[in-house]
Amino acid sequence: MGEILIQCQDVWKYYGKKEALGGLNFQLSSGRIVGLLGPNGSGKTTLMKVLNGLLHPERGMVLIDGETPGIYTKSVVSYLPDKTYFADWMKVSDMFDLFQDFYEDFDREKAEQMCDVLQIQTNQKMKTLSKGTREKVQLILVMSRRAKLYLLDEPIAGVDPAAREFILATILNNYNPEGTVLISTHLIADVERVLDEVLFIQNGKVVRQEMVDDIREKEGKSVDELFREVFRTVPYGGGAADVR
Amino acid sequence: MLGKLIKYDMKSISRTLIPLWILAPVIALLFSGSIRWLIGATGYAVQNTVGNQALMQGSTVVAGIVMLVFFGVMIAILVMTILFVIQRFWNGLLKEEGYLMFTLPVETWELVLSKGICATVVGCISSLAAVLSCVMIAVGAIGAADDIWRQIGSLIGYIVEEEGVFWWSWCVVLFVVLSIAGIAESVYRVYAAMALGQLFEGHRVVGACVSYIGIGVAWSVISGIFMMAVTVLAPQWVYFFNGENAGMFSAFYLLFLLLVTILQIVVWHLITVHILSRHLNLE
Repeated sequence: MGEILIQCQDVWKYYGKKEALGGLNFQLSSGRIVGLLGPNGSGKTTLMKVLNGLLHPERGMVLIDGETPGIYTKSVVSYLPDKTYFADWMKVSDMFDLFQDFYEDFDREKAEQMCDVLQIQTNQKMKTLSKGTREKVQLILVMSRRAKLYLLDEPIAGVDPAAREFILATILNNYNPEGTVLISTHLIADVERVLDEVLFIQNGKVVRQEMVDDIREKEGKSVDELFREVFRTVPYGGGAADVR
Repeated sequence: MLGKLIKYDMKSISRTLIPLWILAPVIALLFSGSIRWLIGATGYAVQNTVGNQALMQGSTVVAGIVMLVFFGVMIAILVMTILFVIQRFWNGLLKEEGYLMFTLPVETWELVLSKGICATVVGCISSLAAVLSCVMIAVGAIGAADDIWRQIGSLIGYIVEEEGVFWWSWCVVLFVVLSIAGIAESVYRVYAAMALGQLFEGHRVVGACVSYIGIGVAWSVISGIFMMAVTVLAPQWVYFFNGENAGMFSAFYLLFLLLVTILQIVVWHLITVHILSRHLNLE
């Protein structure tokens, strides 16, 4: 087991009166791929934002590599939000320049090679690229860093199965093995095979934290099956629909 | 890191505003030339021949078109500058781009300061381009431009002779610095309003507009109370109004205005940074 990389202790976050994180507690070690799994509105994106300093919790302690979110943690965290964040006037190469200027761990050569493989011209303007290509460029930027922590917020949501394969392969082939990858998603079946550990989150609390091998060995279930069991809701009118 | 941020903010200007900054003085020059041509044509038209009438009409049309284009460019500079200042902050920090900017390993004050410096530079250059264009037109429109410059020169000479160069030099320096600070204050006031506006979930634009008005009203009330207090507590200041030492009074008055403007900039900056650090609400 690696060193403790993330520590969250009694973390509370509100949006107005609405509770987004309600006394969240967990620790994560370095050197593993972790799934942050939970239904919509469970607090996954809020937790991601708290971890990279975009949001400040009202209460509680958050430590990444022993530091509270700030300049140091931002220099070791590589964040893929669930939105594309490019300015229209920028070219792909401008984004590479920006990452090279601000992140010491950015590997430009690797980023350019990945663009070559995908036949993305680096002198193209962002606004001329399709939505899918922009998302790929963003993934390339994030995975071309040798970060201690990768925070990937819904990286496979809203894309076709072939693109999901590409995204997961890119993550697996390019992440820093000494670092930790935290992937938030509710598409469990697609990511299950790449995960070492899972965090189940509901109503802003971690309801379960397990190693994937333990789930399979002790409970004889896949993560997907366990997820459905933990987050099962009875539909209106009773019964349950098997939509697998 | 601040230098790197400024580099990227300045880069975004080049594609939109630089062409306008060049275009305005060039069109002003054309306008100025067309006015001189019109004046010349009017002189010939006195002879009232058919050819000269046509020349005069033609030159009037040309002058009219150039004037329209000139005012179009001036309005474009004004609108583009205001839009640029608002858009670079709104889109750059409060919308999707915010996910990139606020996760860079830099302090929030550096992000705000970078945008502030860049917008102030843009405001200064746009103002300069507008003033330069107006001067060019004035030179063209007034035939006896040389006389005007001579008169301005003799006025400055008279002032220097009467008051001494020291205080009036300070006035000029303070006026330039105050103008730049005034532009920066306007920029920061808009930033503070937008930072407050993003807190209004679902009504961010309306929130920003209301905040802008609110900030203006609040500042007017505070400065009004302050001025009343100054008038009551320090009536001897009226002494400076006697005109005997106008240069010194003007310099001190400009310095006072400059300090107040700097205070405003600091207050708007701190409000903006505090909100974006503690209560960021990205779309």
